[in-house]
Amino acid sequence: MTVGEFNKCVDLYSDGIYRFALKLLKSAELAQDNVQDSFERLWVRHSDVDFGKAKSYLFTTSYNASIDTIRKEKRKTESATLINNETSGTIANFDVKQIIDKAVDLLPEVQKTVLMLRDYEGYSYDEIGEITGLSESQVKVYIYRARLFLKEKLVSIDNLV
Amino acid sequence: MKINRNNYEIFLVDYLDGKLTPEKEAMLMVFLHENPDIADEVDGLQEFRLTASYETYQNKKALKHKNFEEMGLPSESDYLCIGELEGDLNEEELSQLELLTKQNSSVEKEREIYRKTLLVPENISYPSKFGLKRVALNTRNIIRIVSGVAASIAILVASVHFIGSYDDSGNLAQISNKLGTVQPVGIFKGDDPNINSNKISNVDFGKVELPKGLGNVTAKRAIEKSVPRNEKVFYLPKQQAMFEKIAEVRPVKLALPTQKIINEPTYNSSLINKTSGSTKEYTLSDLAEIGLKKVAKAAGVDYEVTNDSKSTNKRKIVIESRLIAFSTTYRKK
Repeated sequence: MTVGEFNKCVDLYSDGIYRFALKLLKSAELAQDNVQDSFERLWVRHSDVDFGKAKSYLFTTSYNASIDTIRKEKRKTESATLINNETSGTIANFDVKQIIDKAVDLLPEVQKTVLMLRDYEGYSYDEIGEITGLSESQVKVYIYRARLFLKEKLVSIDNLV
Repeated sequence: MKINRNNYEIFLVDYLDGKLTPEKEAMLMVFLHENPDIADEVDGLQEFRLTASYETYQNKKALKHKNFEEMGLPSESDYLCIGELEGDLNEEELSQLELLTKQNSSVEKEREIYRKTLLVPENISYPSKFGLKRVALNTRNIIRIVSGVAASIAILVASVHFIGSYDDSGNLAQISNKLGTVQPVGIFKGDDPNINSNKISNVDFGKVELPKGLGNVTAKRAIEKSVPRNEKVFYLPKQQAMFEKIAEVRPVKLALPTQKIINEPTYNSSLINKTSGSTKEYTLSDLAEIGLKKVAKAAGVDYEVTNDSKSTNKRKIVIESRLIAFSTTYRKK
């Protein structure tokens, strides 16, 4: 990949990586660090990575770094607890997007990741598997289960309202 | 291989299946003729054939594993609704979904709820995109970087210098003419002004340009010749202009752009008569323009000042080097 292609990657993918990391890490600061690290790693290997594979490389790097960060800071449990509380507190203000956002945060990390890659980036099961290190069928199962979870959240809120 | 009583069965089976070559078949016929007891045993075997049964098992579907069970989903409708959303269903499954929807109205509602589980990307942008970009370090870019940084520093220093020399007291302050070869000059009528009094009201610091290609002495003579007889050229002592006067200058007040300032640091002999006898006022915009022009010229950077097409009051200054480009619109007083 040339320097020009690398800079093109910045224009094309930095927003997507940032949104992805932001959703996973729930912190703008950590997400920005994650984006910088991902592009730094791509730069280190830019002569080996093809332009066509750069997006996948960036998301893989960002995903792995996010998981490391979450594990290190044990953010998952904290944010899940926080969001649980928030969800119960905002039932009165019924808003599908809000409920979905909060429910997504309650998903297991791997389900959240595959769902975001699927819906935000439009990746196929195969590509998601490449990024996350899962098999195609595992990805499919996780996505189906994630959707079921979100549907159940929506139904339960609907019933309450 | 020769046929005998121990191996004849191999030949016999191949014969019944029609797999024997004509030579071997002839050998077998000779063998059977020589062994009539075996020939009797083989007689009628050709007619004995089993026919295949075409009966089928009717409950295959019950034996199969359901897709939704495998996925850990509670029902088939869940599987079909999600599959529809993901574009995973084949024709048969799509028909099955339509059938279920017709049979049970709740399935349609279920489909609708599942559609809401699609995550919609938010319009969030990464704030520091520029910082991630890289520049290839070839000779051309190194020259660009160095010249760009040099020009930026020069513009910064000059801007700070010119604007920072602004005296908001209404009295005269001086800007040292670092870029010229002669210290600030003004034209005055009558007695010599007292520099130390800081009230040189009768001096007109017009726009005077030092003739190019001349030494200090020759340049001063040229300027003096261009001044009318009743007027004199006034030079500020270099040290005083550069250190003492600037030391007295107070911080810039950007909110007061029309304050009377300073003499202009360039010399243009052709303008002396035009400005003689009047006091010229400069706004901060004027100073910025003067400073930027001067520095751009000294740094060898192209610059352009144009009038705003929409407003006669506004002007636009554009400075470009190989690496940096600076452009701003400002309003003239």
